[in-house]
Amino acid sequence: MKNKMMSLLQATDLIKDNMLLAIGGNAMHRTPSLFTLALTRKPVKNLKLCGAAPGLATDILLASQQADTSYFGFSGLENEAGLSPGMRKGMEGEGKIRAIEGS
Amino acid sequence: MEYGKPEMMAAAIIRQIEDGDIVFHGLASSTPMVAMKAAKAMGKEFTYLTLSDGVDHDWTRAPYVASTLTENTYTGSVATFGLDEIFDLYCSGKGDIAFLSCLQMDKEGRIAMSYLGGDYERPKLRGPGGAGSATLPPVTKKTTIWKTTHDKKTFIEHVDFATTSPPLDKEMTVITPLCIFKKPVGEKYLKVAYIFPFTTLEEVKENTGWEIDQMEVPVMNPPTEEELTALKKVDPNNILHFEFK
Amino acid sequence: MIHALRAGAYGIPFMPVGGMWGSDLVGIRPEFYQIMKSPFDGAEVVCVKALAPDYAIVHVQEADIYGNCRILGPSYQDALMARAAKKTIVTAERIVGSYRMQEEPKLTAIPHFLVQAVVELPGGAKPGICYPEYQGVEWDKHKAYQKAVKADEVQKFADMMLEGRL
Repeated sequence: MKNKMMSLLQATDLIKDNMLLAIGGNAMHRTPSLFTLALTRKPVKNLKLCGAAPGLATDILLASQQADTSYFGFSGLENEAGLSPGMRKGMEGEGKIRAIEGS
Repeated sequence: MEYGKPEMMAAAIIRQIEDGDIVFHGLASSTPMVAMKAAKAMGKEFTYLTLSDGVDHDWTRAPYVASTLTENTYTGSVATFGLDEIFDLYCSGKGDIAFLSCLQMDKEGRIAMSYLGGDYERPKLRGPGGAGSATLPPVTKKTTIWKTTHDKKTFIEHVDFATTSPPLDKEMTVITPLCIFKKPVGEKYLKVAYIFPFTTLEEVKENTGWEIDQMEVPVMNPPTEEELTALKKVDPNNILHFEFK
Repeated sequence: MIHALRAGAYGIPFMPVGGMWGSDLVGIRPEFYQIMKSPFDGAEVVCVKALAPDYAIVHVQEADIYGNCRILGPSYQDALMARAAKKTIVTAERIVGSYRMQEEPKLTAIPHFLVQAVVELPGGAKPGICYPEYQGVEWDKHKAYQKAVKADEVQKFADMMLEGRL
């Protein structure tokens, strides 16, 4: 087994334009939100995101407009935390983010 | 004991569950969560599945927020069964009830979860999506929709884009704050099956966006002492009222 | 989505799915949904295209330095994502010794060979919840996020969160 430890900065450097990313967790629960927040500080763009019930970490990349496509079954933050603000911003009206909705 | 619309809807949810049923609710489902915990507290024999992965969790764990993904639907579970396994179970015909909700519904029980207003590519409001509602109704024995508002904006004549539609060969039940609609097996349209004790068929008609031509419908019994006591017992933080604010 | 990820994990181009009949979703995204006939009895089935992500990104409670991950509490679809993706990036609440995994190998949700990177990142799911480490949303930070989205200031919010200034 190899030691795979690296810094957040090194790990976010692995992400390149146009990549398809599966993002873990669910709604406000155990999503890698600090990782995607760190990604917003990089110029990476045209990401495609997927998950069965994407939550906060996905919403961050929709809000930053670094993603152009989101595959999801349910995309929201649930109850008190509300609808997914980045998704709404990116998809409503003239929003450019493409929704590919599964179940 | 006093009761209101939340308690009446919860009692209707409890009564929907039959002995031996396999029952699922998903995320953002505080109303069925509280009702199902109460059904457990009343000693009803059924299997409680939800997407915290927990199976028959310890119902004495009280919800502290409306999120249905917190530890209170997981702690004390006797097994784990993930959402992928739950979908498989239902798709292979072994699931009895799925509690689902909607943004809008029409008289055929077609459900909008994807958007409201505009069109699919340029929606006015982008909804969260079906969350299993496209997968489950075609394969679930007794799909049950709960919706905590009953007005002409919610129950409309025709939904433009149906995230899901009920199949002809299955029944569907819709529980609202005023009444219960049912789509029987083999039929296409929802009918009022019961109204709640505090309303009238007239009020139901006035708040529904399609023509209801029924003249008389039975009134559902109010929540029993046992149901109200169980609801109080499992929900000291009154999460049941969250969706009615 | 689960079936699309399964197809990715199985190394097949698409996959039939149960349910879905009567949904307008099927017609509106032909690049993701197609209807085909079963080669065995001609029955129609809805199919979804495989998703094989370049990376799965997951936050877990415990990982060792090699990338073996334990997920405590609900695991959602994270293990499936790791199998569907080419490689996985893990952020972890804490780094533990591999003896934790050796005690009960079944509890390793994601094995090391699927993982390319491990980042020690306590609080990595904040302002959200990570069972059983922090069980409530940090509402002030979540409100700040919602405001930042409206004001197009997500990057500023990210700076404040990552630098611990919120």
